[in-house]
Amino acid sequence: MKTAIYILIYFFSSPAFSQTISETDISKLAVRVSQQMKGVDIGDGVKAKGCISLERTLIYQYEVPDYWEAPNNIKEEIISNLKTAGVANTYFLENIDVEFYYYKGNSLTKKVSVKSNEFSTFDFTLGEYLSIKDHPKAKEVNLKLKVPVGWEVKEGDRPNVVKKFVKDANTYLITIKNNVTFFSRKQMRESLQEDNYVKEFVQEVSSVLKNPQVIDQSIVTIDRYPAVQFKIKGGMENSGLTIPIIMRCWVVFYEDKIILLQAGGIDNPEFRALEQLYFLITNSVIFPEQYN
Amino acid sequence: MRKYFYTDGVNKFGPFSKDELKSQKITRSTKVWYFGLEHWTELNKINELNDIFVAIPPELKPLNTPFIKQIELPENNFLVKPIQVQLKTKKSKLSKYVIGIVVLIVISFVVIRLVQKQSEANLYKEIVANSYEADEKFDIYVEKFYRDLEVYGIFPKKPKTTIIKLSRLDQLDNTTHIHGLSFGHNDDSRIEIYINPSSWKQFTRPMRYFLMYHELSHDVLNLDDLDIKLENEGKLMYPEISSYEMKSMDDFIESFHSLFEQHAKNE
Repeated sequence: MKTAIYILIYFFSSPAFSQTISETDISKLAVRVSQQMKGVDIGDGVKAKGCISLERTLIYQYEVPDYWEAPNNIKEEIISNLKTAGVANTYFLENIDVEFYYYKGNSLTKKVSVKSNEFSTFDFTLGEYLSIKDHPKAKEVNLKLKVPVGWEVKEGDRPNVVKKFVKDANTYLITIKNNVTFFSRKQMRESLQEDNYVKEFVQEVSSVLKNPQVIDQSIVTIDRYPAVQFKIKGGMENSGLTIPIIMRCWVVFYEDKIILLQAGGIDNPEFRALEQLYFLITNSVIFPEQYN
Repeated sequence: MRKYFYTDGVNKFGPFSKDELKSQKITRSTKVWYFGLEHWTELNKINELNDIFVAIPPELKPLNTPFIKQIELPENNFLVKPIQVQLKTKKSKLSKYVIGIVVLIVISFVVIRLVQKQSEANLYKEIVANSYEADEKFDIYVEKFYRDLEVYGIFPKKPKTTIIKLSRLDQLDNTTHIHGLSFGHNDDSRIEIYINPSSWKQFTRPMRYFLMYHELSHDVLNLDDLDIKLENEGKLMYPEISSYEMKSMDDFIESFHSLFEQHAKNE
């Protein structure tokens, strides 16, 4: 039922550095799309009725003939076709849900709802564990974590960067530095109660950015070790061009080491989409020594 | 009228009448003789001179020296037969015993120390002879130890000589502390530690840290082992580290922090 799932796609190009579009933008988009598609015969007796928006949902409406019946796999076909057309990723990155309404006369005969994350073209599958045990830059830290499928594992270029996972302009770095002395988990949790103590670490990581801005910050636990989790953004000057950078970081306090897990990229919707993957990677971290 | 003679043991004096004898420098034990008496006889044994004897006060007893105690026994209402008993003071006897015991202890101590020293020297030679370089990076523990001391404001001089080797301590005689031995105790010119390879292999990571910081505390801070008491269990200087199998790195960290903090206060 090719005609049944055929839709008019009118969208806009998403500049690389743009922010997520607002609900107002979505509403304006719906009006423009509606104007363009209204009354268009898209074949097999199916006509476009229009497009409306509700918050962050775009609703495409169609008039179908009486003999029309929705195929069983209509949702899968719609997602597949949109991915092929290259617009699925935009829905995903812009966090726009899409619904398709099929009418016979005035009665709604079929409704298909697709959440934005169902349009994702990113693979959030994690692969095998990577261990940094005995790595020359690991400073005796025994840590392992899962590498996302499709990402390349590289050696760190800088002195304290042990490994990095890379895909396009996105990176996930594992950096290990020495702390001033050993701290037990209990001692460190107590220290992290002090805002100034936490601030120091956040500021140190932020110092690589121009006009850094802390978006969020919290104390978390990573495989039973205390950590500071935060998101920062700012500019990074390169060859005269300042690129907006955003980073999701975890500073883990492990014995007498500071482990920085740092995911970063250009401040665009792609980073926000990938943030979920970064959480998954960090969530896979294991410090095996404590279980020996 | 009877004439009396007396002697001081060297010279004899007399003759004296009984009245004249009374005024002489005689004592109750002065020997007296008169014609008709077979031997020189002590004054107190001559009945007819009893009135002189009674008039002479007894001799003074010197303090802390043997003296003659005279016990006078009545005989027909007269004190006629003094009995001489040789006695020593209790205090004097006690002093001799104490001195004897002290001398014995000192001699025993010296002998034991000599034997111990010889034994230690032999043990040291044996340990050194059987020692060998390890693949382990023991210097990392030393670096961390000094780093952590500095955090507590303790700055011991770092010796130029650092020897940390493996040696089969469990195959030696006369050793009780078989996991590690420090020979740099009270010697700031060197760190010298020998680790038992079988212990090292068997030990968990926290136990290895416990052992290394324990031996380094002996060696660098000159600290002694704690007594094997329940209250000391878990502390860094507790000697039975082999019982620390369930200890974590957190236990080790808090244990050495506590020791260093105390040591810094004492300094």
